[in-house]
Order: sequence, then structure tokens, then C-alpha cells
Amino acid sequence: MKPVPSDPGDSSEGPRPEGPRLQARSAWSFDHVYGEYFPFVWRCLRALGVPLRALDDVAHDVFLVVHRQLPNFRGESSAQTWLFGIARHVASNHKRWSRRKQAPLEPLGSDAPDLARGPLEHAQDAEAAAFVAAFLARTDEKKRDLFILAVLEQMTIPEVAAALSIPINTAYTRLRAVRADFERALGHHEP
Amino acid sequence: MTKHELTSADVVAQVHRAWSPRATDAERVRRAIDVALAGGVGGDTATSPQHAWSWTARVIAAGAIAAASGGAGYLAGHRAGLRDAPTVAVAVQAARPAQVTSSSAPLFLPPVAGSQTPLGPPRPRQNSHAARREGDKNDLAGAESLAVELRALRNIERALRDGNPGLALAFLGELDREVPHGQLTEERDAATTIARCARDDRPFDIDLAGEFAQRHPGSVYKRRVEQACSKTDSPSSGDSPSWRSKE
Repeated sequence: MKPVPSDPGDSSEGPRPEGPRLQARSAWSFDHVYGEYFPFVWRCLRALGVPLRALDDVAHDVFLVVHRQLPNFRGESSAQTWLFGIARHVASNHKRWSRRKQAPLEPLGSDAPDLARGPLEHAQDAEAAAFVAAFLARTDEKKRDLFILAVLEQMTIPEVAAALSIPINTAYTRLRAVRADFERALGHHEP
Repeated sequence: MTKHELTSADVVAQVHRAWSPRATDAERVRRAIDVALAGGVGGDTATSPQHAWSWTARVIAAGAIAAASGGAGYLAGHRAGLRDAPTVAVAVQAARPAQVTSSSAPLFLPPVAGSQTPLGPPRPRQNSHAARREGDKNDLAGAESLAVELRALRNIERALRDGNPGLALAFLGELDREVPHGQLTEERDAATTIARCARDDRPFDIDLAGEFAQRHPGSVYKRRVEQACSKTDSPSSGDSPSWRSKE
């Protein structure tokens, strides 16, 4: 995947999360990648619709792939771009597998509230998350991936275009469309 | 605050918070990865894969085994792991401290400091009959009944979050049969009220949130109950019967 220079003037909102490129592979160990990007991968998996009960296993599989492929990673694209590709692939495999098997009642997960925040804040965050999860579930896969990277993870459009292997103009067009869909859904959402 | 008052940036920030892992999540998955790598699932056991070449000599020494197990072994292990809750995860789960701690208690549950009661599999229905016959105090010790309540309330919360208030009420009913006089009455009452509001199960337009507030004036769940009961027009409650919809 060819690296594309980031565009500081794009329409991403807010501060960008960490996103340096893996420039010299000797400088990046698995520990570093795991420590730095585990939250990103975890959020992406949730946004990709991986159920809570399977999150541990899917994240585990993603990082096993990362561990295996890191020596071959040339650092030409951003770490997030590379990791999202792996996460999407593993999540898709999991979804295909789980479709074949009817899941029983959800086992207890670890999605417990962060008690540093109050119950109300936690409830509001959970409600927003449920709303966005529902929105993503009914959104076309191409737009969904773009929404995850550009809106939720606030990556630049050139990075997103590189991650999804689409032209930048296409990425902008899709972003406008999915943002409009999201605003519409937000407006119609009856709390 | 309602969704109408929220901007998309607010919602994105909330989602970012809600979906971000906690330190314990990262540690738990990392432990499982370490166990898997130690078992050879990852292909090589180097912590820093960029130094993989330095392992070449050892890999050659173990070449026959590695070649035989290789990709097929990984694939088979992966599938088996996904199918039957991976042994790695189970091992880590077993090593994990009991989840009934203040840092992992669900929304409805107050932190239960020092409670180390392991949460076992669901009790069969015969046990609930036995509990009724012999009395819950005799049948379920305090700690055990609390563990049952905690487990049930987690499932209830999960059902509510998934938009299944009917399932949540079913869990509550089973909990009432199993532990009729539990310790978490306020939490159970809050969950019942929220589930009923989500189903719009309010005959004669009873003010469920108001009644809850009267029963528990200082409850920490009051706001959430009010919030749930104020959105009865929402179509989000998936199993809400149409004939109950508010006129």
C-alpha cells in the first residue's frame, strides 16, 4: 500500500489520535504496537460489529496476525491503516463463522461501567454507543468502514483512502454521504 | 440531555469513550496472546518480531515440527478455539480474579468490595423449586444468593442494553423465583422499572419513574430510570408489543 501524505486541511474534526507511521521496523516491536494501538484495534472491532462476548478472542486473533506479519511490514502506510485492514479481515472471518452457529445466551462479558464516571455518564455513553452501533449495522459496508476511520477515529481522508484502497475523491464523496446519513439518523432518533 | 440536543461530535466523543478498552482489557488479551505465543501459535516466540531472523537457527532445529504443524495447525487450533471457547482464554479466565469487584461491576450493581464469590453456571430450574420449598435463607447462603443476584443483574443489564426488555423481565422473574428476598432490591426494582418503561408496559399511564422515586428517594438509579421512562415513544424496544404502544 502506498503511503499518502496526510492532508491537514481535510474535514476531520477534533484532535487526531496517535498515528505515526511505522517508519523503521527495527524501532517498532510487537510490545510497542500492542501498547500503542490496542485501544484503536479494540474500538474498530466494536465498530465493526464484533459482539462483546467475542471481543477478547477476536482482538487476540488480530494481534496474533500482527505478531506474525510485523517483520514483513514495510512501514509504507500508517500503523492504523495496516491494523484496520487486519482487524477488518479477522472481524469478517469471525462474522462469517458466527453466522453458521446460533449463539446461545451471551456469557458475561467485561463491559462494566468505568466507575470513575458516574452512572449517568456511563448510561449516556452506552446509549450513544448503541445508537452508533445500530447506525453502523444498517450502513453499507463501504460507508461503514469510512465512517469508522474518518469520523470515529478521526483519521485524515488520504489515510482513509489508502486504508480502503479508494481514490481520495471517492472517499470525500462517501464521507459527505455517510455524514449526511448520520445527521439524519441523529435527527430522527427519538430518545 | 436528549439526542436532539447532541451534536454528532458529542455522540462521537461518547462512543469513543464507551468503546475504548480499559487497562484490564488490554492486560487480559495480552496475557492470552503471551500464552498463545508461548505455545507456538504465533509462528515464533520472539517478543520483538523484527529480530525473527535471529531465531532462524532454532527454527531450523525444530524444523520438522514447525513445518508439520505450521499453517494447518494454526487453522485447526483457531477454529477449535473459536468453536469451544479457547483453552487459552479459559486458562486466562481461570487465572483472572473474580469479576465481582468495584472496577467491573455493571451499572445496576453497587461495588461489592471483597466479594470473591465465583460466578458459576446458571442454576437449573429444579434448584429454584428447592429454594422455594426450603426457604431461600436455608438453601442459598448469603454470599451465594448475592452471587446469583449479581449474575442475573448482569444478564438483565445486557438484555436491556441490547434492546430486549422482555428478556430482561424474564430474567427478573426468574431471579424473583430463585432469590425472592435478595439484597439488591433497589437494583432489581430499578431494572424492573426500566424494562417496563422500555416495553411501555404502563397500564393506565402509571408513572413508573415517579413511583420508583417514591420508593427509593435517594436512589442513584433515579436519573437513569427517569431517562428510560421519558422515552416511551421510542421504537427502539425491539420486543415491545404493538398493542401496548402508547396512544
